[in-house]
Amino acid sequence: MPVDDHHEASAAAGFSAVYEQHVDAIYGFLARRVGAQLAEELTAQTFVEALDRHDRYDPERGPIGPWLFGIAANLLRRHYRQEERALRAIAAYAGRQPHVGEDDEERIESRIVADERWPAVAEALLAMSPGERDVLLLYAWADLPYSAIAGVLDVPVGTVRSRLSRARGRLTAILGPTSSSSEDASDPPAPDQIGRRR
Amino acid sequence: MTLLDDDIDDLLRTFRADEALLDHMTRARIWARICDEVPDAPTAFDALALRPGVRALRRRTPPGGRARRLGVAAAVLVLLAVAGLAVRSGSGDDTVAAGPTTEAVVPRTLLELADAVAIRPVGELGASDETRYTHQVVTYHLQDGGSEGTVRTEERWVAKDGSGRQVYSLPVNTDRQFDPGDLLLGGLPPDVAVSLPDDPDRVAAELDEHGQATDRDASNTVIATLSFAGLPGPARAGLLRFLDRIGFMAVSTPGVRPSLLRVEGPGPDGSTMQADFDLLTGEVVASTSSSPDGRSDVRTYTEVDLRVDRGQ
Repeated sequence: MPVDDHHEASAAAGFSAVYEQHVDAIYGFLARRVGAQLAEELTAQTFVEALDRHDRYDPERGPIGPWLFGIAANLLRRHYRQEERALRAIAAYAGRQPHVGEDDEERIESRIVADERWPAVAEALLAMSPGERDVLLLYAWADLPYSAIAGVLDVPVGTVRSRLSRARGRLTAILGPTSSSSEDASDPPAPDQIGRRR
Repeated sequence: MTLLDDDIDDLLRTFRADEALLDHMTRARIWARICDEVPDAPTAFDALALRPGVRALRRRTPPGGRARRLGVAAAVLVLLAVAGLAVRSGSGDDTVAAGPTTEAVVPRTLLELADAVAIRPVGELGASDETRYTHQVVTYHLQDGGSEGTVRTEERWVAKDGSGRQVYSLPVNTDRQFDPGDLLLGGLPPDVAVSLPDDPDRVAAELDEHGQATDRDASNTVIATLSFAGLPGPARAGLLRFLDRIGFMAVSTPGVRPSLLRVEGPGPDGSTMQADFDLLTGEVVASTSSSPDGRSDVRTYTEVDLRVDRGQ
């Protein structure tokens, strides 16, 4: 095999491994924010841009996952309106009670509780600035620590903390009072804690 | 009510969680999009920088495949062949009619498979009024990755009572009659094939079980002649669900037609197997198997395909 072909094959193998490892997380994050159809396109764009910009990735600055989320987050910025349309649609369900059969109640109780709150969650997400929403959802859905979120959004860690605090404040204002005893915003969670969250 | 930050995080994690799930089909479509957007001929700089070109990406089996699926994949292609002909039988036609594929679809499909080494029209198989289905499977044995190989063909006639004749070539020629319920060479009980168009769920189960039980030979390519002309919609949907379940990749063929799917999955010995489905008609317009050394063998179904592909 010629050298170039060998390099090309090696690179393809490496890229394939990165794709396999991260595509679920990237797609999941995007799909929750803008829906499955656009997420499919944006996920592909994320990896294509990663290929185009691969020389800008510095492994010493951190793992490749947050770097990919950074690309995805940049792509998302062009689609905030679509995200907000979806959130408005969910928020419009406020007050509607899901139909539940008598026998099903116990089994899906937790799901119902969540479903009942989703319109409120959507409303709270709509009330946030895009920057606050980015921080909150990168934290909750992408499982990124503060320092990685700061890298993804290219903002200081302090900004991440303050945005997260404000975002949670908006959520609790709608859902109920909060007690920030579990995680102080000034104390980022340890990586192993993050790993256990899913 | 008091909410902790953890409660909020947990609640957020359930929010739109269903939409976050990535299925095989979507994963493969994303991979195909990436391949389409990577320049076909990377510059020398890109190559030195280890930027993979689309050729290298496409040579890779789409991520997510598993080795144990190999036998399943081969068995599925064989049975799909039987299925198509089982459905088409009953018409009494002695020849295979050209499918309803349009010229807008076929040329592009075949051009994409331009490294084909063998394209043959199929349609010479005889069939009597008693024939329930026939099919032909051609297996190319490539030797040590070389360009020369040997060819094995299998032809099968099955009568309405389930009996029939099976001709198998390589390594030795066999010509045997079988009775209803007999296990054919290659392990396919004819009644499984017969049931295929009517009961997709049962077929999926049979295929699954059969594929795992099959000890495939050492061939590194398997080509099946496929046609789903007339296959009922529920059966077609069942087949597609099954293909997805075992890890075949259904990939839209960009720029061709939204309804054309390329189903791709792992084949024996590292090969990649593909079949191009026209979902509007249920017909497979071409199938191909690519060996790890980059060589591909292609099977198309109609004479129209052949003329168009050669382009002269």
